[in-house]
Amino acid sequence: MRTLKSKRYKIIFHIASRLVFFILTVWIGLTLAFLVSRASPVDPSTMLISRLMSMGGYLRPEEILALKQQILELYGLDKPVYMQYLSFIKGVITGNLGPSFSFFPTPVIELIYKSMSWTILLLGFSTVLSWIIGNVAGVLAAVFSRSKISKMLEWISMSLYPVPYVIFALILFLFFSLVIPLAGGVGGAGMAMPSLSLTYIIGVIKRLSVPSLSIIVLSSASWFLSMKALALSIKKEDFVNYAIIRGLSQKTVTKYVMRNSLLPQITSLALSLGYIFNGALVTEYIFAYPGLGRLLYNAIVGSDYNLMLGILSYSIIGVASAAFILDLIYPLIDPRIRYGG
Amino acid sequence: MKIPLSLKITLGIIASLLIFAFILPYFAPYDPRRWATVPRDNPPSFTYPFGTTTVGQDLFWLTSYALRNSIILGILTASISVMIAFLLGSLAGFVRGTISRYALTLLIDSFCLIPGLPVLIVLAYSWRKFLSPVLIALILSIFGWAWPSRSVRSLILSLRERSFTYTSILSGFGMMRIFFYEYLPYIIRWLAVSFLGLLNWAIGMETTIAVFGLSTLEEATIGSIIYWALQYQSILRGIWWWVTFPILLLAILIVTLYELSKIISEFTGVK
Amino acid sequence: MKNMSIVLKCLNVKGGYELSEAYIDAVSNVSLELRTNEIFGIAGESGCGKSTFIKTIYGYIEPPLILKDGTIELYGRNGKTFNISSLSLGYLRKNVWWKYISYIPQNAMNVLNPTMRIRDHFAEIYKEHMGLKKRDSYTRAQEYIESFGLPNEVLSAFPHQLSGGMRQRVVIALSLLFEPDIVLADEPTSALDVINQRVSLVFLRKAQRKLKNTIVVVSHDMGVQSVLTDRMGIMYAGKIVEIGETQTIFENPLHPYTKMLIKSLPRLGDKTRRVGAKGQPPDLRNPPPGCRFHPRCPYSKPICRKEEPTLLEAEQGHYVSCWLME
Repeated sequence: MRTLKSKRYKIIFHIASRLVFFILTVWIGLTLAFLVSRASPVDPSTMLISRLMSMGGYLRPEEILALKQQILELYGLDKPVYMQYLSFIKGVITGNLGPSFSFFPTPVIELIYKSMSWTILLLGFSTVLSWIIGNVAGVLAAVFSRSKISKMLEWISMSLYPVPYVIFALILFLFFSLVIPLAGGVGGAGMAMPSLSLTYIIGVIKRLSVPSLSIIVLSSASWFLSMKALALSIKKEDFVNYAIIRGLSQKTVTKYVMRNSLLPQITSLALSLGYIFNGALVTEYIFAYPGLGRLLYNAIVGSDYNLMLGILSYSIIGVASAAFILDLIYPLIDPRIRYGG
Repeated sequence: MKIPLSLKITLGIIASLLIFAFILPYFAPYDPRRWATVPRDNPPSFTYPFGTTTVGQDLFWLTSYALRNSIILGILTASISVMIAFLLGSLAGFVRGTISRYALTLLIDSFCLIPGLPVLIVLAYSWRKFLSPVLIALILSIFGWAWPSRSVRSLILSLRERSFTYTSILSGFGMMRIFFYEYLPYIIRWLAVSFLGLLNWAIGMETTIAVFGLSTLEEATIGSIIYWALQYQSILRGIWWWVTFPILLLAILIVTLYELSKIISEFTGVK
Repeated sequence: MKNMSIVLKCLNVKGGYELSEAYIDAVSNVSLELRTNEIFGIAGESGCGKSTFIKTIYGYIEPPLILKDGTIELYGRNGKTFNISSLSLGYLRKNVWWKYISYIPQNAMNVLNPTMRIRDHFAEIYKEHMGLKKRDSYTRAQEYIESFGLPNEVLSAFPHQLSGGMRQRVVIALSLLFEPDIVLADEPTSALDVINQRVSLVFLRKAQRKLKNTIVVVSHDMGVQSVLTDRMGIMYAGKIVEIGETQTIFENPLHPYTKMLIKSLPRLGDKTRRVGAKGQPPDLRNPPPGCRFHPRCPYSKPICRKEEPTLLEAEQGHYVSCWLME
């Protein structure tokens, strides 16, 4: 029937094309980041100097000049634009982005690294959970589309869906501050040093709970709506009808619908990652969660331009990578790609 | 033509919000932005329906003024974005060459994937001294066009597939005429739905940037009210109304706009 | 001489679609008997109620489809009787469907699950109805497929890897899995090209001749009816207007509508102009009074407009419902 060779071709082709997309997207993103960084009315060296001056100006003129020179080299501001561009890209790839302005001279990459893992934890947990909850509920709501619960869930989801992450996070923040005050407050006190102890893990879970709740509730609503609509249309398809006709149980029929609607939802997830990431950033800030969001806010407050750029660059790479990983999972589930026909 | 109840309610709410935002400010007894115009930290009462802020502003008039700015900013962003989206998206749908089609699709999809917030924040930070509603609208439009562009592209692709396009081509219509007579109803529907969606997105995005402290400082927007409320630790100090009323109004506006777009798409959808 | 025992009896079946604005009277007082060891055809234009009638026979009644009145009784082998019209979907699903009666839906090429291999389609049915484990199902499916002359590789394929005609034959094979007494085939050849049509028809007939059960073939294509069926019923606007042996009906059609249908068939060597059936079938929300065919009938009499004719036996085994025959 099908030779082994053509089987492999299809998968390899799929992976290769997604890899190309990944590389090109990162390239476009980093180019955008570069353009944005150079499209500033004030150049970074002046920014750093004024920042340091505002901290009390304990620097002697020679030190200021040395710093200015350092920044000039870092940003390559004395070189032609295309060379700046290349060294920027090189810097991102090698992880060498220079020092943070507000936590001088700690390298930017170090700060990002610490916060990145927190963000990945929050995002990974919330996204996976909400995707599962929303999609499962959506399929069930489609199969039992006439039940009251299904209609109620739809109504609730439609009210939640358009609400921006920032607004919902604030509402939750208000709620847990005023209506049901949480022990330890929202946003948590200082954390102990990372260790594998139970207290640390419990501390992490505590910090994670409200921000992830915020993201999970909103994202689930969105997945619920899209899945319900998708599953309803799949339910009408001939092969679902045929399953019913053959006397297969309700459970089997539901599995049919689910299997076929999960595939487009994975693609959906891959594309929505950017939007969810944005939401996570602002949620982190509002709940003082030690991820990239809070780091970003600190960068803004500390006029730390270099740190901002670093966060920007690695956010792009991070989101694109996550999408690429998802793209790799897709052929494992879709037999049409795995076994081309 | 029967107007469904849901439409009436939705339009009613939007109308009230618009009146609140655009007509009411003219009746303000004082400039709501100015500090120390009224006693500070007063909870909602008959004299101050939304309460007052820590810097002595009347929240009621301030919110109405800010809502106006938020809406205008949203409309500006949505208008610019929807134009860009239409251009790029329909181009991506019509172009024949494989390379150009791939390039355009790549552009659109990558802008959908790339997280816009960090980019917008860096930009807003760089230009923070010059931030006006117009500039913010321009900045937001850098990413606003991406998702609507995707939907118009798939719309055009599916329209081209349909049989009536083939019969039109066979019967000698020019591409332009096909476009106007047969595609237009669908395009208009896309336009309405996308515009409202963009409006919501823009308002949400502006609020997000504002919460980070990077929105316009000269004009008040709902987002900037929230920013100042958070800066002054209003919730910890029990001044809950400073954050609550702006959020509430914004949430109502956004949900209602979404309802409206849903009604429009259902009403014009069956074809 | 064919065995004359009855396998299905439909009495005064009335069914249709309950919509918010109207009721679509798709099956209007249909009475019919099906015999064992025959291929029975149901012919008529699209929209005459054939597919709806099939669904009611099967018992697949889901809103907006409702069964308003009438009885449908299935007389299975080993003496079991099922009153399909009064049994619940759950009961039918567990005990009757696929075992005693099965269904080949319209557009059969697209009814297979795109994410499942063919052998898993078999495994599913075996598990659901016989509680068989996967391994045993696979073995059984293999023997079964081979007995139909289909290649073994079909089992390990996904639907999209097979041609349309092959998928059709798989669906037919699936329907015969438990050797049901009745197989309902809804337009089994409509989506196929001519060559595949013939292959499917031959396939179906061979299977029936081997199993000696009953197959109901719903098709608007009179050519298919003439080639495949032993007996047939003509449906118009929700009513049965003629029943009889296929050959008899083609040689001596009695109802004006049947005459119209046969006339529109192209015949080799016949150079006269083809005349399509004039006019349109009526709107079943508001069917015409009296005989439902009278607006299109070239021989209509005043009584046709006022009263409905009844189905009467015109000659041995040949029934017709028309005022011209009284």
